[in-house]
Amino acid sequence: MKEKFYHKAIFGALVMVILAVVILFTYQLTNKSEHIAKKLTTPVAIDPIDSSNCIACHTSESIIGSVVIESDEGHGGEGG
Amino acid sequence: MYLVSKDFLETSHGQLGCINCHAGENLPTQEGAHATMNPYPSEDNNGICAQCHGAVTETYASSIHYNLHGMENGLMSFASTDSMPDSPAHAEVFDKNCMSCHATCGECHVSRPSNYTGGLINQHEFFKTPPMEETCYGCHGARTAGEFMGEVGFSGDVHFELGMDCMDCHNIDNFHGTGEVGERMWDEALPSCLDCHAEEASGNSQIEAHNAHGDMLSCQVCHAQANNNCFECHVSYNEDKSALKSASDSKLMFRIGLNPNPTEERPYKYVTLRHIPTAANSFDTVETDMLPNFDEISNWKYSPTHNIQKSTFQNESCESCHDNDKLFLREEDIIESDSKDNLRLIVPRP
Repeated sequence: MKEKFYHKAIFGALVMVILAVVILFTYQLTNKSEHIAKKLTTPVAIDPIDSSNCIACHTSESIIGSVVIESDEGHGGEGG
Repeated sequence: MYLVSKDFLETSHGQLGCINCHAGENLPTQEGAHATMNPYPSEDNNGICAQCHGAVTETYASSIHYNLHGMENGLMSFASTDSMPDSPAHAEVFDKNCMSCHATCGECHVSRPSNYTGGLINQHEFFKTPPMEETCYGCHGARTAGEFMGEVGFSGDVHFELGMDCMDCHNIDNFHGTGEVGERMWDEALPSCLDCHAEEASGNSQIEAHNAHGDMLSCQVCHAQANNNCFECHVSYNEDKSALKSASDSKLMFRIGLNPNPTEERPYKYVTLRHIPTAANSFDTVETDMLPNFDEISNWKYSPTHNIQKSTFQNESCESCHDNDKLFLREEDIIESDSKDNLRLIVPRP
């Protein structure tokens, strides 16, 4: 009698675990598809890359000002 | 030109570091740092911008600012070939001339269009709404934007004088596209004067002239001013043949004509016209007889000219328009190099 009770309890617990896994899996799947849809509009994390040397030059007026830049003399204004 | 402000470094874009977008190496010498650097990271529409702004870059691929389908279809309608790949000569013209107006994300939101002057607008600041005078004007300055801002022609547009810019009338879809690839600008949901001035629609208006003319006239017939017309554009190669540059005469004119292509949205019988520079021999530099359909399509086009004023010389009185032949497209306006199709736009004289 006692053994039967234990078997039932183990079976019940097993069912609950399986149910929990199914629910969590379903939730995760649903959540994942939302995440994919949102990925298009929500900024994603991009790790910064050390650009200290670039910044040192490009924020210096005296350095950038000394660089001669050739104009491409674009023909802007031709459009409608 | 390539100076970056320290304030920019505090922004979400600035905190990424230059190399995330521009590649290159964090080295102390210009040669080393720039060896693999990409000055125009948004040239690849699916590149770095798409990482965070994928919804925009996805629809932008369908935008005529990106793919220039309007120009492509305009060119192909004058030609006899159905598609660009069938004709290397047309592809050459398109790639080396029309395509120079192709805009990237960066060319509106960070820098001026490279076809204009290029260069950062304001020390690498990102503009959610690009400043019209630095970006739209860069490509549309000779006509639409120039007229709107009063830089071309007579007075600017009353809407500009009241502080409005392109984005106040044009929906974001007109810039970023909708995801549906259009054939030309006219396929898009363009602004209508009645969006804001519904009370002036024919039948509703307190102004007798509005009710009397109904849908016969586009608003610009009475409210626009002279526009800039270009003639006999002839493209020629630059020194290294990497680009085809154009040169055409231009003239300020005001011409009312019959609507070349009435549609449900624009059913008007009479519209303001503008001469486009294309001539039958425009692309002879590349190959002769490239536009065999030239005489089938008018090169005077419907122009919703963007220099609106409430009072104009043509709406001063009934006579200023009805008795004034000079306002209408006339046979003598059609020049030797023009399309014969223009003749159907001439308003019959009483």
